[in-house]
Amino acid sequence: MQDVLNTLGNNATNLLENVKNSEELEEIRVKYLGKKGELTLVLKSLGSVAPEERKEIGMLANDIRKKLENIIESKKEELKIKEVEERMNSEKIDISMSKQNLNTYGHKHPLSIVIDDIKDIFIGMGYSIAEGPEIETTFFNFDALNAPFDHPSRDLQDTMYITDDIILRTQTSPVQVRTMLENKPPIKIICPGRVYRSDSVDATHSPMFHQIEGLVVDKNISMADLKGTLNMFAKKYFGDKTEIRFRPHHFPFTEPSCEVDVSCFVCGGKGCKTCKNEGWIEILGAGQVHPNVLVAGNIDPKEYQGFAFGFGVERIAMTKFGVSDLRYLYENDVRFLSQF
Amino acid sequence: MDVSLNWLKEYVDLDENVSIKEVVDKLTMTGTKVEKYTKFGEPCENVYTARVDNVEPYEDGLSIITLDMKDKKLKAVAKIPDIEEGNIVPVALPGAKVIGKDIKVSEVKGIKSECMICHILDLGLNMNFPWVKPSGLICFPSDVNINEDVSKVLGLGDYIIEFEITPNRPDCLSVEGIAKELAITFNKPCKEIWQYKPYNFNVVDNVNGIKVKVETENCKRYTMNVAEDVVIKPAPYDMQLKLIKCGIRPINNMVDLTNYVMIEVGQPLHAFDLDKLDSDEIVVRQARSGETLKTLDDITRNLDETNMVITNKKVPIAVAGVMGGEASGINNSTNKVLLESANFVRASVRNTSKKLVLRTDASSRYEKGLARDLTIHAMNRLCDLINSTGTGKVSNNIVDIYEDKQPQIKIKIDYEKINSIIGTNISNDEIDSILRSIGIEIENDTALIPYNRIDLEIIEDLSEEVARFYGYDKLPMTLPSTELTFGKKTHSQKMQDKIKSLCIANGFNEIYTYTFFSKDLLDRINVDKNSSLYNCVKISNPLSQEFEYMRTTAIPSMLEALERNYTKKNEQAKLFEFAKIFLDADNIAKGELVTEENVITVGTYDKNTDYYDFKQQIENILNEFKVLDNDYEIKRIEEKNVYHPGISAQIIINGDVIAEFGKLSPKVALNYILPDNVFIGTIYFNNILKYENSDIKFKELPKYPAVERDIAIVIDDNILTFDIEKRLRSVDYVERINLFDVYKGKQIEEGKKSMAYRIYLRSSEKTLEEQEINKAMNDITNILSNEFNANIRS
Repeated sequence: MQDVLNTLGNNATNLLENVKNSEELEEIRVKYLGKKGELTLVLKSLGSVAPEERKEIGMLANDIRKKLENIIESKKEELKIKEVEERMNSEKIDISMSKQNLNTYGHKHPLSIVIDDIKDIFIGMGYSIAEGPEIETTFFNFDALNAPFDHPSRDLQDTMYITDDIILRTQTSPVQVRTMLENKPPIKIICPGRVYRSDSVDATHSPMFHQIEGLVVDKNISMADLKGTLNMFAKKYFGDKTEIRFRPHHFPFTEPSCEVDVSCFVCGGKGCKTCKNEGWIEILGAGQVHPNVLVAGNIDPKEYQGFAFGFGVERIAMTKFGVSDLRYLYENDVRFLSQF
Repeated sequence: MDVSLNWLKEYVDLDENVSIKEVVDKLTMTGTKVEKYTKFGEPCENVYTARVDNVEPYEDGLSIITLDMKDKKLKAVAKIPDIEEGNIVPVALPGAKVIGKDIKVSEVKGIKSECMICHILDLGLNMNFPWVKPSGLICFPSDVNINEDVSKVLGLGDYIIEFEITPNRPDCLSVEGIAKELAITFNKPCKEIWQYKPYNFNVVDNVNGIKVKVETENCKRYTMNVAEDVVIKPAPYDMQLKLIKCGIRPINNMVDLTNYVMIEVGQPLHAFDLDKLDSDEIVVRQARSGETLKTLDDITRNLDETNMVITNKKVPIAVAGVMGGEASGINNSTNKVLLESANFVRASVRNTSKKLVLRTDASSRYEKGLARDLTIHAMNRLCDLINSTGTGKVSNNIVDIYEDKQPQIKIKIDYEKINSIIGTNISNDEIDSILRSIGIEIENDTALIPYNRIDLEIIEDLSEEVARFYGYDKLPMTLPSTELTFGKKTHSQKMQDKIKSLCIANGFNEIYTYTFFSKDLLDRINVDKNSSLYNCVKISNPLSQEFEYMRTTAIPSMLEALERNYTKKNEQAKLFEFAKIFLDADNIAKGELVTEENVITVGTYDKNTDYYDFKQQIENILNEFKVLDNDYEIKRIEEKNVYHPGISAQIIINGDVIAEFGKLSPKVALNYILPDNVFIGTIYFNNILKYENSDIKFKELPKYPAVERDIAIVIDDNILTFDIEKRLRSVDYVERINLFDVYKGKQIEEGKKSMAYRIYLRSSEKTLEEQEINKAMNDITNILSNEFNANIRS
């Protein structure tokens, strides 16, 4: 009986050593340990064994069962890992393929990219974002900006009128006075927005375009502060090596006034197509807020000073991204939009 | 304004080695902006003026031309059909160089040329140049000497500088003004170059019996003199050449002199033929309605009360400050000339010039506002030149109507304020020295502003002058030292950014479109005639009909963008725009501004998108703002609109429309080049903000298991599942409802649909017992049959 058991145990162990997969393992388990398994049957037949041998054989059979169970358990784990590995090795796809017509991300419009980047820089410098109406009064668009009815500056821009007193704003500057009327210094704002002028559509003109206005008012705000601020902006936006250049100019709402160039960020100032070989690119107009404008904004020019500046967003977007024709910005062709 | 560098150099001795580039760069940096500069002609060598003595025809259209060069006579063989005896022409001698090339004088048809007559192009000039004959031969005016170096005579290699003068500096619309800026910029003296004897004008009440009366506020000064014994002939050569370089074509001495003085000092002048005046009085007044005047350009102008005119007491003889009348114009027989040097109010001239669509050198100066004291300065110069050039004789008696005297501007110099404005520490002495250099006299810390700088009024103006000549490039760079300010976006601005990001994450490309449109587009997109969308703000001077109104909906802009993509054969387009529409146009009539509302417009064509995809994307956006389906209603849109009536919806809270969207009406699609499956929509940003739920509170996760029960019903096809689900969610323990099958067709009655829901029941307090589950399902069945008239199938 003991021999039979040992042989049975050895046979089972041998089979288990060479088992190839889970199914085979299960077959072996059933063959020996199942309800009608060979070992099970031996254990069941213990009753017929002589009582003096019963204990010894019973212990042996149990030992063999435990041993087999342990082997099966560890084989199971082994085979599971082996099978996962085999499956992994057999599974292989062309990882470069894409699913057609999957819902891909959209794209931000280049004008929004420019506006958002500029906003971020100025927010970092403590500026808030102001807003104002696009249909505006001549008071805020002209009179409050020191351009009374007979002022020649009204000729510089062709205005679209709704009535004699209401127009499509020609600049974001009216937001300056609106902001001053609603806030006390220190004021630090920028105002991005749409503006309108009577220009027919062509490669460099559009009847609607975008500006970003800036305004700082407090005690002792100087033109040197303006220069420092714009220098900081230019370095953050166009790159650390960017230089700025102030040129005298005239705007009715600033005194002194200036136009500001940045060194060409394409050629670094050596001269190229982008900067028309000048090494400089004009990007904005600026100056010290005219005292009449402060007065219109209910701020005492004896106590307070300030500076203001204004960018053309399209111009910056076009130079920065190398867009050759302004019309692309408003045609909204997805082949254009998806490049940004 | 174009000025020749040589003319400026008459005022300022620039160092020899100063290049044109340096001149224009430095002027630009001190505020006299140079738009561009061009070289005038190309210097030549060994080319001289010669008089044509004799022209003898030869074979093949050639002529043998004898040229008088003072000390010698030379022969040239050339084909110049329009050359005539007496012409003074440029002649290249052997060894000459033109446009950088050596000239070889050769034999033509067996006759040896001793020299070559230059073509205008050989001098680097073009055929439009005055004095040029059709053959390209330049014939100098008769007062040009012969045997003179042509390069010098014409000033070849001079530069014509085009200045962009800002509107506050009409004083720089003159050679004198720019020369002054040039002198200060290069720290050189500006020479008084007039070698004239200043007239000690006697102001009298008439000159030659002519009086002046000013009857309009728009004329601030009228200075008048008369030139007698006038001989009309060409102006002196040098003067003509200078005018040509400034872009003015010479006409005759009288006219040229008035132009010359205008360019030189910046004051427009006019000359009337006195014999044609037919009056003994000049009256300056506003025109009368119905009056007309034929101006020098041969056009009859209709005038009205807004136009100021110069009259001979009876009829207009000139449009003041703009253009003279033809009848009183100077011609070859003119003998007596009335000279006008006047000051007109800028707005008056500008309005007239705009109204008549007539802009002249005179009007463009007047409309910027000239100094009143400039009239006498200009009259002085004009009289001097009329006498010295032998054009006529003037007396030193003038009429000078000048009631409203130009005040002497005085500005208290606050040195500290100047430094504070520009952010510098410039010494008082340096400030004084800069101010003096521009002609300001300083008395007891007070600046006395020169009469021609009426743009200088306040301390800020002085600070600009100081900054300009101190050098903008030398200003320090500092940062504002204010109290701490928090840089931030408002809530609405943050939400704008968020909504844009969400649209982009949902696959939409951002677009920018024009906010004006044509009202016809509303018909085109099937808007009901009575809709308030037709109530648009109208632009009174639109660029075109296309851009006549401010849009009240952005859908047409979206359709146009989709159409453009489709016609360009882009396979799919998925677009959004965040921009304004303009409502409440009636406010305009009350003098008030309108409502500018932000909307998000979405649109797509893509064969893989259906209504439910599109709806999901819109819901995704709403969900991000926690505007949830429990709070809103979904309805079909009642009124006539742009959408497919069966495949479109509105999302509404308390009657406020949050969004509307759906398939483009196939009828509207017919009006566009678009495929069938276009989906569009509008999300009303203000209403999102209004109903946004920003108060986020965590809800404990369920501890007890959920029970699932399925129910199938047959129901009227018009009933929306949204309404059913919303109603069923109010039943106790109903956590979630999932519609998993909809069927219409065979075995289902016409007008009905079969729907199958899986209902998830759960309590947050306990495991549900069978009777509670049954009670809930019972309630559900009752609601479905009683309220929705549904047939329960299982």
